[in-house]
Amino acid sequence: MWKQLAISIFVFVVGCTAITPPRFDPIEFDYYVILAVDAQKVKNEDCDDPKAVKNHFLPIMKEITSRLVVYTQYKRNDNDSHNIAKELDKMIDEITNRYEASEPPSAQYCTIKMDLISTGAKRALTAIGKEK
Amino acid sequence: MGTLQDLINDGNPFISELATKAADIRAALDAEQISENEYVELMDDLLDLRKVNEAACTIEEKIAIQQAIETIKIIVGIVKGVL
Repeated sequence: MWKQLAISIFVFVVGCTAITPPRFDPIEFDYYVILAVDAQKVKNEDCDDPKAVKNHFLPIMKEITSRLVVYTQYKRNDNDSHNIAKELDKMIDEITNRYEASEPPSAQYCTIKMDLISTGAKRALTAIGKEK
Repeated sequence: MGTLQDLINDGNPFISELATKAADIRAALDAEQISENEYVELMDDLLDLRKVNEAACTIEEKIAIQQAIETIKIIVGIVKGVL
């Protein structure tokens, strides 16, 4: 009796968000799918072509991570998502800076960087998927 | 202190993957496929991925990953000292 009353008061005071897991977010999920697939494709097929990486793929990937950063910034009670998005956005900035230098980075650097970005995006998918 | 190989053989897939990637990055440096500067950046990225990993893990896995990261940091620190 007292236990039920205590739970009722708790729910009344703090609301259902405290006992309900965060909802699955298909928008955020979709962004990470695109990022993971793009990074995997560049890693497997395009790192030998610096012009394509710089002029085509990196701008697309930057667009995705920029959207993710803003989107997650305004999600309620979800600092983890925002930190993940910022981390991946920073990685895109780093590789972009290297391609904007006079000498493009090595193909192997591109391969490893894209692998890390893809891994990060897939981990994010795992985290989001777990929240279903 | 454990070695990268110990971590690669760890039962936790997150830790094994982190350690495998650390070993791959080191191998790329040794083969002169990446510069020292690129190596440092990629290792930093790898260690920063823990934030992403931790979001996908249980508390027990988070603790294990943090311990593994500390080991990798020490190994990377030694490597940085050599460079």
